[in-house]
Amino acid sequence: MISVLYLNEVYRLLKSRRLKVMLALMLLPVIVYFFTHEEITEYSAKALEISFQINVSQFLINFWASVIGQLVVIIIMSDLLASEIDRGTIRILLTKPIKKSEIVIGKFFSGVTAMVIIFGIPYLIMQIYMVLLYKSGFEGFRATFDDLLFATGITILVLGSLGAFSMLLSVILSRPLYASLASFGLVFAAQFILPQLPFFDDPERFNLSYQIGVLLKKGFTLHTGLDSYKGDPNMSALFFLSVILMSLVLTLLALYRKEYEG
Amino acid sequence: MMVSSMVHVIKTKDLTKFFGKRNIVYHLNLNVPKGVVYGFLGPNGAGKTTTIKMLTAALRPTYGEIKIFEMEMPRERVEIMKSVGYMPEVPIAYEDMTIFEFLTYMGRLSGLGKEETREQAKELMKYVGVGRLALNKIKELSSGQKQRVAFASALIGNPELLILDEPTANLDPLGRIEFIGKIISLAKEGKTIFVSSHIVSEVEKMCNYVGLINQGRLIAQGRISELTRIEENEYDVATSDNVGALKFLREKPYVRESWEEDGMLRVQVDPRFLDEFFLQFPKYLSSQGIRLKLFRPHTSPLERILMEKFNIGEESD
Repeated sequence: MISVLYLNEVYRLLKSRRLKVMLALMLLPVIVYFFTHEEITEYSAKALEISFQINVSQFLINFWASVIGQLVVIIIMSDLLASEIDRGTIRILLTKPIKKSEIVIGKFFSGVTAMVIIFGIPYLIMQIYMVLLYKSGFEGFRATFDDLLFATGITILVLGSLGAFSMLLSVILSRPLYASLASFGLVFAAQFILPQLPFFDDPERFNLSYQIGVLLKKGFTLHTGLDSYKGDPNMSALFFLSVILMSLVLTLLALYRKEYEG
Repeated sequence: MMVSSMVHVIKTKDLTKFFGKRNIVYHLNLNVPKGVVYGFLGPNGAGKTTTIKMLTAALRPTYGEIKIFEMEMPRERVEIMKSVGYMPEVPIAYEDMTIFEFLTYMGRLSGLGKEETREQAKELMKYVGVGRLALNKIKELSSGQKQRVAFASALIGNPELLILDEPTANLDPLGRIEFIGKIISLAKEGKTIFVSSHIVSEVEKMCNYVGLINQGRLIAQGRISELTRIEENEYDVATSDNVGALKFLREKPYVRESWEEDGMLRVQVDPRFLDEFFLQFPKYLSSQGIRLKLFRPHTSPLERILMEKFNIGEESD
């Protein structure tokens, strides 16, 4: 049953104009790179990999996982359940033999799939373009493929935790717009206002982009610039994974407690 | 009036729902036997939709219990819903889907296989009269067409129990007649149908059981024929010679009042002397060569029960 719900949701997301607009937005860094890329002095798979790690890290930290990327994820994820509650279609779902946990998990993974498309395609285009630029052929593609998967995984882990949190808020607030605003408000406060308080050491670690840097350190070993991001990648990964699990469990509880009058 | 040995598809015990301090449904004890068309009849705001929302797990009872197919709702919702089709009062659907997509999605969620779902969806679209609109998006449909789609979605998976909330609300008069016919034929297939309505004539046409609800309380419940067995005392009569008939009626002391209105006689009889009236009146007509064209209770039996039970006229809200 979960696969039916998941596939239907993914199909609907793929058909939606919103997903196309967001994908176009996430392609911006790639377009910027087309016009502003570095001068190539060494054509090899190794040089390509170093350059790929540096460029992807920069774009990921400064654009893809920054405020814009976070907003994109919040908008997608907070709509998944809240739109069902808002339109009343959740009542139809509840009259079908599908468990509430299947609804939550199916919806979450359809959102994750949308994220993979929105972020993964720009990463892939960038990779292919760089492979062509460095004239490194299949060898270059293979050398950077792990990095591509790693970057996509890190994006999904960090932004997925934000998405799961948005889903939780969306069930509590029942309106996609309110949930998006509340999620963004809370995330903004946690990242930019909380660190202003004088009680925290290293306030920059509250920033999701910063944590992306910490996590990238683990896999992007050729990019030494990432060493400036202090923190244990394993602990960060554990933290984000815990946020996802906690948010999904709380979403399920909220769904159990909620009543659907509309 | 219920027979206790009957198998009940829906059974509620002291079902109660409060919204804050507002009491919407109060100690409701519904008993819906297997294979009946149960009309859940009451005025707007009586608590019908709230009850149905509790039956379909959209709302939690404040207290009381619900059993459907002997299973407890909402604890065993998933198991129960394998055999339930639901049609909400306002057609709810995924507006950006086509009718065919929506029905196949609903079919797959009901546990049907891919091919089976497609077949059933095609059949149901024809059955409810939206076959030609299969590839139209739901948002492009009229409210009546949406209602038909909602009915098809309740039927997909061939459920044993149908819960229909005000199913004819958005239908035109022809659509209503067609819908009532479909309900009657579904009942003949042995399905149990729980249908809420505030239209007495519709309930009379399609239901054999009825539950009357007012202000959240169940006023009466049972087979319509049993509930309406109370004797009438006001009748509409049409004869070939109304003047001659009226002469007889005015002579009889047990006829409280009789008058002619729009070519028809209205007769009020003292309920204690109904037997005499039924014996003497036809005899008199026959002796005078007057032909009886029509004889019926002035109000429909169910309507009268409703008026009595809801104290309409005495304490109307």
